[in-house]
Amino acid sequence: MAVLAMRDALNQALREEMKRDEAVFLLGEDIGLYDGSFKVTRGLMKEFGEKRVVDTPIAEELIIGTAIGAAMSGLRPVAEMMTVNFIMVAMDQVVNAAAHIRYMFGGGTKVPLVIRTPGGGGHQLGAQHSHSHENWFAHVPGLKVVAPGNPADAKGMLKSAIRDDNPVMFIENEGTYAVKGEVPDGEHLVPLDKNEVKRAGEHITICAHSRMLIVAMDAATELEKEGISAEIVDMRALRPLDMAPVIESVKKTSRLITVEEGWRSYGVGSEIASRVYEEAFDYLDAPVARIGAAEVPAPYNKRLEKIAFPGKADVIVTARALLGKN
Amino acid sequence: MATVQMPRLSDSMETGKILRWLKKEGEEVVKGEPLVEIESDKANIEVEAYASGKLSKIVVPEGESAPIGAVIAEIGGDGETAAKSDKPATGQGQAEAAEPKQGSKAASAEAPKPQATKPEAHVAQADKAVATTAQVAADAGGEQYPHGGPDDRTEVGAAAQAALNVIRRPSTQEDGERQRVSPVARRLAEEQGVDLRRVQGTGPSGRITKEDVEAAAHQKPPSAPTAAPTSATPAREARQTTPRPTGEVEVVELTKLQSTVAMRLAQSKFSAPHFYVTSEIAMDDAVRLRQMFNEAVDKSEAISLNDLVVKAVALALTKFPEVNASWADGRIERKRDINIGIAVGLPDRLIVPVLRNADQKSLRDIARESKQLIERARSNKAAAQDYLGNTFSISNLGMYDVDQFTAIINPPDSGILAIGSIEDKPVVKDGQVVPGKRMRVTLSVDHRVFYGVTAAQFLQEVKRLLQSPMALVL
Amino acid sequence: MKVEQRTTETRSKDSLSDKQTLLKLYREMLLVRRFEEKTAEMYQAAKIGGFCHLNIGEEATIVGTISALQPKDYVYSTYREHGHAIAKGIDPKAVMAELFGKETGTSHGRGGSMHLFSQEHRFYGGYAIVGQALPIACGSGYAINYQGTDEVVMSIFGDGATNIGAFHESLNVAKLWHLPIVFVCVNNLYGMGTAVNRASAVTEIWKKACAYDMTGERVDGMDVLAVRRITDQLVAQAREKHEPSLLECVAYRYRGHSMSDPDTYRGKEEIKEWQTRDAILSLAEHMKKQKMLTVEEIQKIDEEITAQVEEAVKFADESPEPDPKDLYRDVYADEVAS
Repeated sequence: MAVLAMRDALNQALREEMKRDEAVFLLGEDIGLYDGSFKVTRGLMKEFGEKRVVDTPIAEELIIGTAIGAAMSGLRPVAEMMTVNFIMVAMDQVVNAAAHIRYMFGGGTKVPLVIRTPGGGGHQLGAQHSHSHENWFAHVPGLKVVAPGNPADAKGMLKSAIRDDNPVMFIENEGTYAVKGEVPDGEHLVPLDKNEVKRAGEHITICAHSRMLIVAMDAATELEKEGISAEIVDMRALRPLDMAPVIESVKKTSRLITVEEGWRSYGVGSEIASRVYEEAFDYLDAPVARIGAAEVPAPYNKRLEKIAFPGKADVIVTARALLGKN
Repeated sequence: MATVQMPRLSDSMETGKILRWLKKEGEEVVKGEPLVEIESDKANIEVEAYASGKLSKIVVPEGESAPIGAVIAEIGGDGETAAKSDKPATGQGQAEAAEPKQGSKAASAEAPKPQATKPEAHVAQADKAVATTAQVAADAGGEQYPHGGPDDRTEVGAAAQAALNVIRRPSTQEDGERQRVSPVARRLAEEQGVDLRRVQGTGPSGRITKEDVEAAAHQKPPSAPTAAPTSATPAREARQTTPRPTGEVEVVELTKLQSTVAMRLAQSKFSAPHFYVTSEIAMDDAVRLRQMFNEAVDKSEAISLNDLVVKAVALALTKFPEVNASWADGRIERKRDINIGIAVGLPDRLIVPVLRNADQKSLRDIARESKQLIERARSNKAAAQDYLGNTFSISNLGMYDVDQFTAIINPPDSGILAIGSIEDKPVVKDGQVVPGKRMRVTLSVDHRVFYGVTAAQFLQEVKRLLQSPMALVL
Repeated sequence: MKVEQRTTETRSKDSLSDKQTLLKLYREMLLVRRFEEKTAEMYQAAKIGGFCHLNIGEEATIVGTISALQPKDYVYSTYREHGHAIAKGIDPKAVMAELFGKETGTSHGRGGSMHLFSQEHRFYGGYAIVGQALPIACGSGYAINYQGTDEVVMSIFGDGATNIGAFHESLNVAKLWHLPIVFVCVNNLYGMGTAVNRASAVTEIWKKACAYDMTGERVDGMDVLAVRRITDQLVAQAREKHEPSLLECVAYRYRGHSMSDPDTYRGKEEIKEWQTRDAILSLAEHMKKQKMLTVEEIQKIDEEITAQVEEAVKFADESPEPDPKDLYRDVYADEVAS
């Protein structure tokens, strides 16, 4: 067992998979010589060469399109969108091409492609650099979407994603690259379709993913001090959406909070809540409480930004209220 | 012979109008030549001929419209009758349109052509394809609904499948699962005092719905005797429950309503610490006022003493909002509206229809409405709304020659006023003993919500209003 | 990324003065023509739904280019692709069945007119978004370099696509990364209803290649032999030197943009004028002059081709519809719970 930062866990995953399969190659902006803007791809061009670690021009549509064509032609590309904010320029390739090609061509081909991209805000980067779009991708049949929240899951899921024959949106987070965690030694694979309880509890269920998982865990620690035991389900698998551990938890606690870094309306929480209403309607004591970013373009000012994005305090207050203690 | 059909010229087109035939009947047509100009829903389009030969018959003339697929002309026919196919379309196969060779050879000199296209075949083909798909779906257990129009599917599509799967989940409950009750049903049951354990759920997944609770709330008894107004002495009605002799004891089964009421009353008595305040009210003026009032109006608009009491209590409550309140989980909820529950007692039933916003209604309105409420309650025609929202209740046994009695609070109220009979008795007035009409009322109070002083003052106000009854007319 | 030069003998063995070669070109063009004419008829008979874009008039740009490729080479097209699919070797029966939405179609009825595909024939689609296929085509080019094989990629698109970002991004990396790709622009003078001179600052499309230091060529798209000649050259350049190129074929579509287009933005005279330069008739004339074809033979070929197209319609008619139970098949490459 080693303790690794998220970025290093991801780096390891890429390295191992590139060693394992000649067909795996990387492409993205500044991932090679520059070692990647978040250093996830550090040292890989040096080790594997220019053919397998491609520094592309600034051309998102081209990056994704090329990755798609290469995937259809026998390779297993891992494309990087430097941040999820830049992916919008390439949405046509992601949705209209990558997600649809297998189906609309009658199953005649497949697109084994991974698109890695960090989202999230809270670093005073302004409105155009603070988005979270996993809900957009999770809406689209043909894509798989995952959002790991700790280094072990990050490594295991990236390896699984690379080995998967479908286009996988691999959602990272700018705010968690430095977060450290234990990562098992040896070949460590995590399935792309299983969510799990990361913290057992009795009184209330909290669904969170990516950076918000860490926020939720922190909140739970605080809540424990006042006698509120929170069960946290890590929603790392968003499409397909594994609801089994959530339903099981809600049947026990009857109360649910969802937390995401994206805007609240039409967010991940909306889907989780809807499925809970479908599967556990009669177990609920109250409507599902959804926490998401305030519905404003992210402000630059430090304090405004802090109150706009969900934090530990938001989860704590909501949990208390849901339990009738506010 | 080849038929010319009205072509589909855009994906939204359903009918087209012939603007201009570019060839005359009898003229030679070469495949690929422009034949006719047609107006579609989007534009005017020149349509080419798909066969060569003589334009033997124009079926749809200029200026007329036809739906897609309809025969508009014939090429190479005898020009007599409309085309009839000599071979019906088989399965999903489609008889081929005749394709005479290029060039100017007359169609009739050619070797026998493949069967002519059936006129409505294209439309029929589409319908048939839909029908076949529907048949396949039906065979596969897919559901059907009637074919409504060109865009309707005849099979329930995949779009609704996920939702249907949820709705149709089996009714059997899992261990540890609560009874399946919809939120609105649960609230209604609580307000109505309906015991959910005795309710049969008819909703999705066997869930108890609002309708189920409403049905349980007013169970219809097998034979309802004719209702009489509260103020008159009701004839003693036959019990509708049949006693079954079992040895020494006569066992009477309760109706659903009876058991509900029993449960609620017990709950009320055991949870709310009751205390009681009695007052004797001089009703002379009230009785006289009522008399005068009823002489002036139609019999159907007559007011009762109960109506006067309702109004007096309602007005008093406007001055004592703390009495118009409920105990709720450790807090007191003061209600904005003043809704008076009027207990309607029958030997086998106790129901409390609610007269809403009594403080805002005139005596006349109260008289009319309470008549209706009571009538509905007696004849079992009450709507669920009739029983909802009471904030204070009144129980009147005055017509039964009762001096006074104490009533049990009707949840979620905090007080109930029990009305006794009006008695003629000797009273002291200006130092003289004179006959007076006196009525005793007893206020039952939930001691958690308000206390003796408030209760006494509230009762004082009610007394004051009834003793100066002109205030009630305002 | 440096790529070694190749010297394998890959230049086309066909000679453009050989009767067999010309016959093949002639038959292919006529097949595309008759197929598309029949497609129009079937669309108006409501057997084909949705959008339907025809290649009528552009046959030389299709056959002249694709015939220069080998079966293992990749072709990426657009939504105006029926002719390309057939020229790449896909059975017209499968194409017509796909247009009819049948299970036996190239895409099992899931794609329709705009999303044909064949792994076997390396016909890599069929795309409805203008310019979308160019970056994807670059991906196949990249894979060829990566795997060290000697295929070529041909990406065929229209004049309208040369103004979209993806076009420029693709030409840029094709040159930057030495991709073995030939970009074929069929300039039929109109992007839907907008003439080239109203959409493009530079109306001679081949010139846009210079922005990327890339070979740019222009050819008469109504002359199949001219198209073939230059394509041979550019394909060889791609295969042997990994030099990409942009080939502009100036041609004309006789019909509107699609079956729904009333085509009011062009004059009838313009259409007639272009029809006098019809590629199929021109080749027929040329072959007659060279004593390679007689009038009777021309007639006979037409009958054979027409019959072949009829067969395709019959096949499509008699093919089964997809089973509704298979609605969810092939969304993913494995079993995935929704």
